[in-house]
Amino acid sequence: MKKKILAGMLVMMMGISLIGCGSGDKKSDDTQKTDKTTESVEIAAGESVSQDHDLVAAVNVDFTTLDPLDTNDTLSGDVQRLMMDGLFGFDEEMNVVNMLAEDYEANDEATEFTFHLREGVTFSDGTPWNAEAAKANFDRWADKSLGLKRTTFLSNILKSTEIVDEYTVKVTLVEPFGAFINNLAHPCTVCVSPALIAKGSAEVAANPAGTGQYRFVEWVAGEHLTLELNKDWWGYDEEICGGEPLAESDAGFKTITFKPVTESATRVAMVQSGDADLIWPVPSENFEALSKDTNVVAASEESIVVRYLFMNNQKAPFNDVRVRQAINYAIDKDAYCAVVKNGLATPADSIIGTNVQFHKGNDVYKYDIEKAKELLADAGYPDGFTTSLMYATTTANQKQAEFIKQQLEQVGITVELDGMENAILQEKVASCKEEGANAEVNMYTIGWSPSTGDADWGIRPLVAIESEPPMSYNICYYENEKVDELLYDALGTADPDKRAACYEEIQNIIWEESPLVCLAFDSNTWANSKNIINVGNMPDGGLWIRNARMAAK
Amino acid sequence: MLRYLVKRIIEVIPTLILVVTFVFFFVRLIPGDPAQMVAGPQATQEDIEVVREELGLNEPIPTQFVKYVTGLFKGDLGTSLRTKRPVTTEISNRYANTVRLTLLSLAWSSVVGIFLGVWSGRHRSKWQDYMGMTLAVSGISMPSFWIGFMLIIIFAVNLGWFPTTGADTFASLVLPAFTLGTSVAAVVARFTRSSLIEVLKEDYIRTARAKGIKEKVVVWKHAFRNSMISVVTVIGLQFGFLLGGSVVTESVFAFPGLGSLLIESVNYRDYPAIQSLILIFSLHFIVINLLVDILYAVLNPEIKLS
Repeated sequence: MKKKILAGMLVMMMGISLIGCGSGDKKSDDTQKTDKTTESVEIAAGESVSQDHDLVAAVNVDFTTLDPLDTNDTLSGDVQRLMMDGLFGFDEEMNVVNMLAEDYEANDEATEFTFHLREGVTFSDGTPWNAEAAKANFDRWADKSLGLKRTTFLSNILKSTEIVDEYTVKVTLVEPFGAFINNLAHPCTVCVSPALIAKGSAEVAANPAGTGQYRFVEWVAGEHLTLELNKDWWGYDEEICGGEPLAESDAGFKTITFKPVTESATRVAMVQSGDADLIWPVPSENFEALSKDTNVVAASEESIVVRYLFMNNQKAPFNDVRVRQAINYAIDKDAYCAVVKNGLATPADSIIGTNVQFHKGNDVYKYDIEKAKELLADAGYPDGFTTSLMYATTTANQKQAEFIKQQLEQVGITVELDGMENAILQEKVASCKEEGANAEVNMYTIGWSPSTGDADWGIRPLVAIESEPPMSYNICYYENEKVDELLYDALGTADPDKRAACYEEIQNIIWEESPLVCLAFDSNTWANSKNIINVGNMPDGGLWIRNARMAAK
Repeated sequence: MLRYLVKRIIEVIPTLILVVTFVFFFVRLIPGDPAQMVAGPQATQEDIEVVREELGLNEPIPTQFVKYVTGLFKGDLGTSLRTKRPVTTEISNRYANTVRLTLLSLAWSSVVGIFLGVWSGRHRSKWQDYMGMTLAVSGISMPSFWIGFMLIIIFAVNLGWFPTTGADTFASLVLPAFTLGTSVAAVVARFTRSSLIEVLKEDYIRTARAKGIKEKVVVWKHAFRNSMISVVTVIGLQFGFLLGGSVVTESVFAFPGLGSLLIESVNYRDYPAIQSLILIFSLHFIVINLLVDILYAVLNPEIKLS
């Protein structure tokens, strides 16, 4: 009798445990080419009900601050970009577009920039947008005493700002800086009301006021952050925009409430139950599950984040270009995308992503074990060698590290996996003060993206000689004076053609010398309820919601 | 009683001083640089140094210690390195949430655990006992994140009875409280059962039965109170643990509580927040121990508080 009851209960328990294990059967190994899992609805002009709807978005981390100059995370930048506009901004494809600046001129040496400001724009606290407001913002960006996380973004190159007339300012730089406009499109240089600047950084963070599509309502840390629509936003006005409004008149939501939900499975449950209208990111494991839900649209798109395998170029055997190329041939990038990223990535064809300004692709190093072995033998390692790989322990990184280990095993290279907690890793590797040849790191995995959308920030911190640790992230200790020269030439001019030529050559040299292996371009992933259109991620991971509209149920 | 309380409170002070000092220095021994964590993954060394200066991390350590301790006397728990807001602000909202969740979890799990334990204990070795203890073992064995997700799938996504996340309404406390309370109920049940079985062996119980008193009265009126001494200790400990927050449950339910705050602070090496949180958690246990000691005297008048 006792045994029967026991057996019955065990069966019951097993039954319960199977409820959760529904969806994992299909296995497709072709990479995700389609963007969306369900077709978007069509909404006729003027028929959107979004402006009556309170949107709930579940995100994966909490916001850090509302002061753009003290922000280094994409999510806080998203919210700031909704409330505040910069002189420039990005469109969905990371092209620089005019926002509060209608036009600009630069001198040939990229040291003097004159901006013509947009007229008819006001901050949410009533202050007008004009040359004085612009100068107040430039002066704040130039202020070295603020001690904020983005203080060095522009303070080292801004020399002075002068007001030319009510809607024109002229900015002089300390030295040539060709990527200046891209820096002004970055989320940390959105413009804040001068009245706030006068009150100090604490006030800027507590009560942000900008010229954006939304206004700040409240932020309860760890719980939610709420914005409300600014119906008088200049971006709706055809005339102020000079022809084409930035958003349709019925686009935008009455309020947007962001909720930080770190557990991705919970975010997925929220969008399925309707507790959230929009979630991002959607981890690849959950992507499959969501694509079966017809009430939800799950989508993915190539981002500007690139995944790399760094090698210490100052230490044997990585100081030999043949070894580095061999490793590049030995890693199957298609398999990487399919296995490690569940199809949500594309093999990298350059050190920077496709949507980064001045990207120039080369042929991906084809998976070729024979060629790899040949190169290794030429270099004097016919039987391979042993080395180590350092990385921060996250589930994704662990998967990646094991993949790399398995791939390199096929050509005789034994990789010892040395994963550790992120803070410890940063201290050991990024803060290392030793010369490359004496540094502890052999191989290292990292992801990088230029939030300015410009090739300079995508390349220089990773390969310039001045960027070696502890300064920046040239953890490959790559030292190529020609590449350095080209990098500074490209910064020294505002002429896009000259810059393009420099970056093309840089990308070619780096491809040839392979100081690092460019594994893949990550994809951004998001999911939203199917009656909402025009929402998603921009390639830099930011939120694209400007023209979002919603169909009536 | 009052003299006893005052004496106990005074005895606590040296412990607290020890805790504060130990944590302050220990946390700085852990490898990892808060300035680097706060400055972010793309920060150059220059950025990191700017942040380090701004956060006051360049000051000599004894100075930082003195600042922190003098702040404590004024009720100032320091400024979070991660958010630049006062640690008190960071904690206060989450504190209320965690306390509500703890009280709800403890309430249901103590009641259910005790009843289950008594039921199993008085019917020792019979079917009630086996059923009760199997339930208890399952409760301890099932991982909390799994229980949490199952509850979300069944009750939030499929049935829609409760919200998936959050801490604002009572409804949003139910699923997390159930998740957290499961292992507590199981532990309480097991302790209650063994405690009751021990007490039921006592001579005075034999006397009561010999007098012809009904078994139900024997168990609930006579045995129960005495078996509660060890159960109350266990519940007190669980109370202390729950007040420290549960990172796993808080992550699954996106519950803004103290557990996730502590983990976040550790990841960022946010020294003031870590120090203050550990100090508060220590205080919890100290207060709870005091309450439990007083409860002993209530449960068993023979125990005198000396």
